[in-house]
This record gives sequence, C-alpha cells and structure tokens, in this order.
Amino acid sequence: MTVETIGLQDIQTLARQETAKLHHFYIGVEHLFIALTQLKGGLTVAVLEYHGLSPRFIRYSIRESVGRYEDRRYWPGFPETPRAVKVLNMAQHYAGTQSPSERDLLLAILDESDSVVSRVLHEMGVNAAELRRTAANWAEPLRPQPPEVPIHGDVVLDDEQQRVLQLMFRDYAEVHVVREFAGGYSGARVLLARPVRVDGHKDAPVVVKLADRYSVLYERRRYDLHVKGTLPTTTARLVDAPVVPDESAVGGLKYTFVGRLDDTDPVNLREFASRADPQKLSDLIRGLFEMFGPAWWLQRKPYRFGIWREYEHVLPPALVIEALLDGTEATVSHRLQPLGVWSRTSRVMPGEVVVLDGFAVQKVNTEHDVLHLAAGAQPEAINRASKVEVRGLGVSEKTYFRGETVGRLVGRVVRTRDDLLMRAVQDLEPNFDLRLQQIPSEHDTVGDLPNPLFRITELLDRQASGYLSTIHGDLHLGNILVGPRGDAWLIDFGWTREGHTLFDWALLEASLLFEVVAHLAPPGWEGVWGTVALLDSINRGEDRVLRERHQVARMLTIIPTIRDVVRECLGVPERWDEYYIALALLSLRLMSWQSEGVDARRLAFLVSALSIAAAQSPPQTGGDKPWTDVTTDLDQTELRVDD
Amino acid sequence: MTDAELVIMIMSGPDDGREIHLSQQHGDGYVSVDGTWSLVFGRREECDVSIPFDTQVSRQHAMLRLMPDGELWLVDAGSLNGTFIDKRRVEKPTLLERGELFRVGRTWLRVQLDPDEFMTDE
Repeated sequence: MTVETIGLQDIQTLARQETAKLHHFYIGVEHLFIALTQLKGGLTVAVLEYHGLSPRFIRYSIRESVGRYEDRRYWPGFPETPRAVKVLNMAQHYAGTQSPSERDLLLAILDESDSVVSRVLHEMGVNAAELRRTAANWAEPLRPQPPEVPIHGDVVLDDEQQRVLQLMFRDYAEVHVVREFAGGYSGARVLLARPVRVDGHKDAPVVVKLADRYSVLYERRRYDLHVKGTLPTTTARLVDAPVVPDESAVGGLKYTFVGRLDDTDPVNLREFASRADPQKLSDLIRGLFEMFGPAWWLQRKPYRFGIWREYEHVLPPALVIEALLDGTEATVSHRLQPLGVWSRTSRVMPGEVVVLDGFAVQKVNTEHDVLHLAAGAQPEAINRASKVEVRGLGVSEKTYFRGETVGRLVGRVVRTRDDLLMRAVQDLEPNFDLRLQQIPSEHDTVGDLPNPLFRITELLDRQASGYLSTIHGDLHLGNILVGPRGDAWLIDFGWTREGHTLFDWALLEASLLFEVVAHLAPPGWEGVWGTVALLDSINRGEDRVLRERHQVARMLTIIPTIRDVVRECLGVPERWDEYYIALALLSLRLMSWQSEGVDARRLAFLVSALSIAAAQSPPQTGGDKPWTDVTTDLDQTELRVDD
Repeated sequence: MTDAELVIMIMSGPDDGREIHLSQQHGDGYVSVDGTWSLVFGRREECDVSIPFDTQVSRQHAMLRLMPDGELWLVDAGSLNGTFIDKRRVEKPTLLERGELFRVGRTWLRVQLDPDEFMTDE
C-alpha cells in the first residue's frame, strides 16, 4: 500500500529533473540512481544510511564525476542511454509481471555494475555487494514519499489539495497557481495553473479542478460519455486520467485548452461580465451557441415530458428524515419508493414515520452525518428526483458509497420541501405575508405575482413539449471561460447528460440575473422590483432595456440574446411556457445558493414568481390560444408506485 | 591480422553502454603496410569512433593502434582537451590494456576484453 503512490514514474521524473539541472538532457544510470537517493523515506536512502553513507555526498560525488554540460540541446526530450535501457529492462525482469519497484531498480543498477554509479561507489570505497545484500533483504517498513513538486502562488490550499495537485503535476519541476476562479457553490476549487517543465519551459496554462473524489470520477465519466468527440476542438478538454489517490477524499481533474491561449489568463464569464461591455458578453453567448450548438442543443430530439422528470432535482430535497435505527414500524404512515408522486405533492407531513425502499445513494457527507438519497444512480435528471436527506445514520465512508441502492430505511420526517423553501424565503426578510397566494406588487408596471411557494406541485406536474439533447447541465457563468482573444470554453462536465435542451439556457439566464445583474441594482426590495419590472418588459417583448441607459438596463440587454437562442430551441414555436417554467424552477434553486447576498436571492425569488406568471399567460404580442396545459401525466402513471 | 576485430564500449554520456564493433574486414580504420591497424576517434561523423555530442572532443581527437603483435597503443592527435588513460594524460603514444578505461574529451571508453563476452542489449 505504501508503495502505491510511488513508482517508476516518480523516479523517472526526478531523473529528468536531475539531467536537466546538469544540462545532460539524457537519462543515464547516474540520473536514475541520483533520483533513488532523493526519494524521502525510500529504500535507497534507508540502505545507504544503514551503511553510514550520506545520500547527499553520493549525489555530490556522482555529479562531480560526470560534470555539467553546456546548456545546449542536441535532441528533443530525454532519451535513455543504452545502459539505462539495459538497467530498466533488468528491473522489469526482477519485477516480473508487476511494475518495477524502487528495490527492483536499485538492484538492477548494482547488478549491472559497469556504470558511472558503480565506478563512483567503487572510488568511494563502498562495498556494492554489501549494499545489494542489505537492499535485497530489507524488511523494515518504509514510508516513501512521492517527490514534492513545489507549488507557487498566493492561492491557499489545504494539505490534501496540495498533495493531489502535486500528484497531478508529478512530471513537472514546479507548478504556479496563477489564480483561483471565483468559487462555485459545490465546494470544488477551480484553479488556473501553469506547470513548468524540468528544463524550465513553461507549459500552457491548465484549469484544474479539485473536488471530492466521487465528483471527480463522475465528471470524468460524463465527459467520456457525452463530451469527448462531440465538441469542437476549441473546447476545454479533460486530459489525463483523473487523479484520485486511494487514501484521499480529494481528487483532481485537468482541463486543457485546445484553442489559443497566450500569456493572458482566461477569466470566467462572471468576472468578464463585471468589467466588459454587455454587447461583448452578448456576442460571446451567441458565439458559444453557434460553436457548441450543432453538437449539443440543436440535436432536436422531440421530447414530451413531465416537468418533474427534468426539474424536480433542482429543488431542495422532498423530505429530510431522522433515521430510526431500531426500525419500529408500528406507526409507519407512508411507504415511499423512488419516483412516487409523494415527492411532488405535500402529502407527507413532518412528524410522520416513513419507510424508504430502493433509493440510491447520491452523496455521503460523513462530516455532518448526512446521506443524500434519490431515485437512481445514472446521470439523467430523473434519477436525482425523489431526493431525501437522511440524518442520524452514523454514516462513514465505508457504510455507503455513491450509486449504491439502499435497502429498507425507516425514519421520521423532520422537514418537507415546503418547509425548506419557506425557511429560505424567510431568510430574505420578506416585506409581505408569505402565506398569501399572490405577492403584492411594489412596482407600477408589474402586477401582483403568484407566490412560488404554492405553485411547485402544479409546475412539476405540468407537461411540456420540447427537445432532448446533450446538455452541459450546469451552465452558469462560472463554468464558461473567456480567453484573451474572446474565445469561450466550457468547463465542469459533472452534470453533462441527455436532458431538456432549455435547461442550460434557463440556468444561464438565471445565473446572469443572480450573479451579475443583482449586484448592479439599488439595494433592498425596491431595487429588486425595479429589475423585475425590466425583465417583465422583456418578457412582454418591449424594448425598455434598450432605451434606458442605466447599468441594470444595459446588462439586461444580454437577456434578449439568450432568448433568441431559446426561441430556436423551443419545442413548439412561440410556446414560451416551456422556458418560463424552467426559469421559475431554476431560479428557486439559485435562491438557496448562500454564496450570494440577500438581494441576489430576493431577485431569484421574484424572477421565479414572474416566470410563473409568464408561464400562465401567453405574451400580449403572441395572440395565440391560451396555454392550458396543466394535464395529468399519462406517461407517468405506471411510475406512481407509492401509497 | 587482416581479420582483426575490436569492440569498444562507450562508458559515459548520452551513448553510455553503446558498443561499437570495428573490423578490418568491413573496412573500418586504416591498415598500414606493416600491418598496424589505426582507428580514429573524434567528433566528426567520418571518424571510426564518432562521438558527436561531446563538445570537448576535437574533430580528430585520438588514435588507437592495434599492432601486429596484439598490443594496443593510444595516441593523442593534438586534441584541445586531451586524451586520458584513467587519470593520466596521454602525452605520447601509450600502451593501453584491454578493459582499461580511457577518456577522450569527457567521454569515457573501453576496449572490451573478449569479443565473445560482450554485453548484448538486443
């Protein structure tokens, strides 16, 4: 186990660093041996010290013997000498079917006995046969440390994150963490890193994501399934296998850019929006659609679906339960199975005892002893419906793993989704009565708005006719990077899946409102209502935002660009309810992002309300027949397996 | 002695471990009327033993002579950085033992002892 983190690859990396330092630029036995003496906690160091030899002095002697060359290269890369090839082959022979260990390589070098190393050891009066015997018979435990790649920069990382970063760049001499992208909400860290090779060459910058190991593995899998091969070459690509050390909770992913990226660093769209002209932002979003559209959103597979299938998962869990470990069933009120209507109605009440059967583990939080369950393990949105949060199970990493189906679980309901949403809205310090069906308007041009808290079931049970396509699944501003030439890339493919085409665009709009526009508006509910009024004018097809010159209006001119994209993706021409429902539900999701201030969350709440209103009535300009699509979902009856 | 052969192994640098097989039959080197076989070491590619990547090796650096009686003599060819047997600089033609290390520029070399016992990589 201890050897798992250290292998030939690390030794060769150190050897390359050594040969570059000496300007040799080839890998000889001497460089390999010097690398062995640099493995802290390794066998070579232990054996040398056992014989009273200083690894440092041995390195010094070998270096003096071979000397430093001129800083000029005669070949690319780091070719191995014929003798190094021979020694590596011997080590492989000793290792059998395994990958050679440090011991195999050390024995091979000593056995070959004709190298610079052997000559220098001989000059030093070292008895190589004794060294070999000690190395071959060494039985005491060793703790080899992987070589440390120095990490530079001001970004503060914890020990585990540093270690993963070092493993990700173990081939390099050093890594400069240039900056951290403004954080998302998931606790993942997204960094811009510039690795420097052993010969001092600075490689192109890479975006690095450090997150919990499961999300890293999961994202890589989504990327392989949905992204690889389908995107234009300028997309940020995931490179290398994900780095997920066995004993670490953190894993890492690298995104590299295939497009051009010079010395100027990319920024994410959120930062770009804060300093760029809104027109540029519009152009970028349009460009993004044109570049990625054909492979993704324009797949146009007709899709008739119950809204809950694609959107229930963006809402808080349907239930929070406290596990009852003794399993008394006498008072059980409901037996719940995944995808039952119970998760979309308010039928289950706090205090009731429920039995869960056949749910899949989505997330294990050992720190807070919380288990997140949902319908299934696959990435499609429906598998994240029927969310239940279970507390008090005493979970540890070992008891549950992601994707596992949990047998029977009994618990008492402590919160319902309604409670959670109600609390989230209370946090906004509303200046109106939350129990009212309508939110009284505080702006001349906007009418009263429906209170989203009472419309969730209705929205989730609606049917929509749209399109299915590959979607990014988490297309907020933070996941779009902009390069110095105005090229855009997408990162973070953790939620990439087949799904409702408009999901991405509704989230992008919500994210723009929530993360950018909200900061430009005057503080307080008044400012929020002002923004809502402008958005309402856009919904009604008016051009108020073009005529008003203040910051909020100017930033909102981006919305019509998004809406133009949406128009091309609507399942039925001009049937905007498909979009507004998505926007209403995704806004409620953003309302629970604690990363933003209260006014941003207030705006998210009112945008949800406004969108519900818009979904209920056709636009004045449309003149279509009224939208009355609140139907029973016939397709889903067979899925209603509870009660 | 028209079928004499020598195997020289490079003992340091980027070609460390490479064996150079030289034979009169293949026309390596130059055989004078008295039967002495001369091999030229240097940085140039035309040299019998070419050491192209060592900047301290002169274009024509040293000569190795195999005498009809089987003795090996190492001669410096007026090189800039010198020819050495072990640590001794070769000022005048010097007798070289098979298996003994010698150096041109900073590259160490060795005439192999017995052609049948050479290490073979391939």
